[in-house]
Amino acid sequence: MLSQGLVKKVLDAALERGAQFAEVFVEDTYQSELRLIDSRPSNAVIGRLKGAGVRVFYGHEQVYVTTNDLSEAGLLKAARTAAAAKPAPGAGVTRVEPKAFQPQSFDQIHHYLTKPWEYDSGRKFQHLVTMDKAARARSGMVSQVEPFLLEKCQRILVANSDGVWAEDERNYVRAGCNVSLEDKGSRESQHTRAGQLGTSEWFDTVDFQKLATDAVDRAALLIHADFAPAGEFPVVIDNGFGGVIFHEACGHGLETTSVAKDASVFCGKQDQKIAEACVTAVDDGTISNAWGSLVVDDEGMATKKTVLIENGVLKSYIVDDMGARQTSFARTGSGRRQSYKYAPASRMRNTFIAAGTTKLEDMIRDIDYGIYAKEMGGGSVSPGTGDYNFGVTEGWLIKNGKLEKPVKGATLIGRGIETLGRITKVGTELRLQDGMCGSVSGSIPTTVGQPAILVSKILVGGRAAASTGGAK
Amino acid sequence: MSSLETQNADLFKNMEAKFQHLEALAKKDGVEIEMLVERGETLGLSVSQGKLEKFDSSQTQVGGLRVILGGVEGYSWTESFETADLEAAYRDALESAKFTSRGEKDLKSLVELWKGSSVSSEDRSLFNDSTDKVSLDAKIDRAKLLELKSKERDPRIANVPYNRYSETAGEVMVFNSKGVRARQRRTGVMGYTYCLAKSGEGLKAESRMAGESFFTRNALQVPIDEVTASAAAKAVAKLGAVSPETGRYPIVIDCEVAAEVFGLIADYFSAKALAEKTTIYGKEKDPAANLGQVVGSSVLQIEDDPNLEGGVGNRPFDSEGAPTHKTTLVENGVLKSFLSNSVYAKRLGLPHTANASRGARSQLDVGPSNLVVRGGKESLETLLKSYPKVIYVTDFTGYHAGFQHGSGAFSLQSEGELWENGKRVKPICNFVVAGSIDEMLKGLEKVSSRLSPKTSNVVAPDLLISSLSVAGA
Repeated sequence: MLSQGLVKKVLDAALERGAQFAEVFVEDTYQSELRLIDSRPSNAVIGRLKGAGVRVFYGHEQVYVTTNDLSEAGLLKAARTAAAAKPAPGAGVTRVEPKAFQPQSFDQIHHYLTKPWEYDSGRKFQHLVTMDKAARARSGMVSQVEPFLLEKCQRILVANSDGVWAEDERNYVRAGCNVSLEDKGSRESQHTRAGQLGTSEWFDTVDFQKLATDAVDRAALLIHADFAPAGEFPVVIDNGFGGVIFHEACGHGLETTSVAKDASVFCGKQDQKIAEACVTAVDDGTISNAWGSLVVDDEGMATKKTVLIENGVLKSYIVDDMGARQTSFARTGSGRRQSYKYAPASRMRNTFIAAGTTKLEDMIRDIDYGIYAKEMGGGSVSPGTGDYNFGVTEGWLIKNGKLEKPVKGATLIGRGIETLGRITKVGTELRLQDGMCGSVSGSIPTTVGQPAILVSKILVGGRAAASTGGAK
Repeated sequence: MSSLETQNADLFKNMEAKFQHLEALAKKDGVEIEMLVERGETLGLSVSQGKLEKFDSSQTQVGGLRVILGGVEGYSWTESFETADLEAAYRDALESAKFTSRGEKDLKSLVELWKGSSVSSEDRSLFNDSTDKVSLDAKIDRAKLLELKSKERDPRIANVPYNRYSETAGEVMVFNSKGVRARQRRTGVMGYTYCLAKSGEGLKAESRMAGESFFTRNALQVPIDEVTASAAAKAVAKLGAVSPETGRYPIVIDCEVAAEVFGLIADYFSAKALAEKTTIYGKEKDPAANLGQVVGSSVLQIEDDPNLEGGVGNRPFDSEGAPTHKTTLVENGVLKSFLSNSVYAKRLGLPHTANASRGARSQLDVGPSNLVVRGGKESLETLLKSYPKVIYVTDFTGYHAGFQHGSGAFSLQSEGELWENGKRVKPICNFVVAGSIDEMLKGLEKVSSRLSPKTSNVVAPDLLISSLSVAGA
């Protein structure tokens, strides 16, 4: 993407005021988004992202400058802006010389074939129509269907003053269907998503009808459902996107982005027991063609599999380059960013709780009164306090060991470290699900996952019936 | 004219020449074309533990193309303004338009570009050179002061992990083949500080986080003292919080939280959402028949104001280049208007309110300039003593998890205070407030005279809701 000679000049300029480290990240990305609304194409946008970020470290201080201008003059201007963030060095400051580049080759563990511009647009249209028709045929209550296809081809180069020179291409494909149902004055919206690190031929393997009808079926189930009860109950969270609980409740708190500034409840807990022995959790960037996988991270390090929690004991944090410098923990190949517009940060990849030994039906059978969260929505966390929340998109009330009825409107909230300690059973069937994670270095593809788990107590934000304090 | 202004005038002419090149290509292909250019420079300074943790500087420019082929739209965008890249983006937009032209067409849905004339704004309330008058070192000191002053406010502030001072200077240009030439520049200075208050040890250890932000267009007047005092006070006030008893309570929603909630539902007032059936206010098939419906209690007054004093979203023209004006949306609880752009005004037969909203990377949408919920005459304290027992919500968290846009139902993680007989009894946390937007707005009893700070393009007063569900202990 750029010559080694030019990158060397840029790093030299970035280091001219005594920085200890300099890095150049260059990106050239093609992305396409296609949608239908009201059964007609409503949105077709093709975008081309092209730019570079220059990063320098002065001790633990980080300077990051981005530019759209990839000419030599533009890149040198960005590098000098980065250097000028610090005052001119005094006498005695040793200038770091960039090491000779050692271009790296990585094992290509992912399969790529057909680029977005090579896949027939008529077939893409047909996939959208398939979802639209399947959704509308499924229920007379359907009032709107919004199917979409997303494709992205990102080429990157990362080179730094330690001699790293890594180039990579990441391809992403995703499909989804948003549906709205209306009936007798009630409305319900649901969506489904599927995606992978891969190229457009993946569309030929997707069951688009099921993607659409699953969304309609869930909305139809819930449109006239009662609201979930309010209060603290045992909750069984099913596999797949249920793993968002670990992602929010614990994963973000294990990123050195929070740990390094003592803004995580998991600070200083390495090698300590933080969960029941049934809990083992992993963040793995090496799963072939998985949505959150990588070959090389955005700092030029080959990605890897990281065991975060083993049999309840905290084994590793999620560590990027700056996090490693601040905490002395070893890097985990987890430096990630949405695009060149963001400096990288420690971020999750494919993060999941490993399979255990209890069957889902056995977990439900042991509960007198509680909630079965079959499908989860998104969530968020404040790493400093560990307070998290996430929505249940399909919930069921459990009574006397049986699923009694579907319920809607449940949000689960709690403190990560407390909830982790309340996972008392882990199921046998691990399933992964793609999602998008937003944080300091932008919105990136991450996979969440788990087998079903039983949390002995979580606050369920449903609807309270009784009046307190004079409310009408 | 100063050298900087000359340079900027040249830049506009340069961009116009690039557009004219594309316009000539479009004419040959028999299509109409619009180019929206966004250019900007940002500086961000993050401080942690007394040190400059991050220095971010960016220069971006992006051109968003919108091509109209036989009444349907295609979009593309590019960050490179080299002729070859612009031409490639034009071909992408044309390809997108061809994709969009598949399927059945509806005459009322056929799109035309907005036909207008030149609008150029050098409104000094939106754009000034105050950021040039503050040195970089002084800006870094400001970021450091955010942390230092927050920490000094109270010994229980154990850590101030997130502190940021940032500036933006940007401009938007709109060119189209129907004669629109519009340009607007704007500057902004923003910042925030988040304090972590701690108390207790071991199993009794407790930590609470709170933050405060600011926005100004004048870099010479940055409210560091006010922001740090507020953030620290909010964090400390949360210590000792307990979960309230589950039940239904009268709820007072803090004005800053209320502004967030109205931001979530701004789309309900969009003509595009009405056409796409994603607003809860689209009950009737005839678009105009939805006007006049009761959406809230009689105290609810909402308007869109593109010229609000100090408004973050002020703009002389919308994203199609149409001159903006004030629009009343809700009067005494009754829906009076939907916001529209030229496309959806025509499609639905509604008045054109000049509320086109579009980033260079996205398609044409509808959005408010500044959504303003008007305040009343009573103080926050009066609202809090309206009932023997009131929950005062100071924070809602997790809107994307707890808010169902399609139905308006919400179930939101909350923090706040319990008030009894007009007195603050204790801080409360770990509870969920649940209800629906319809229930909330129709149950609106009073609004305060105090309005939320203008840190976003939504402004609202404190709200007293007669009753909402609370899930707690």
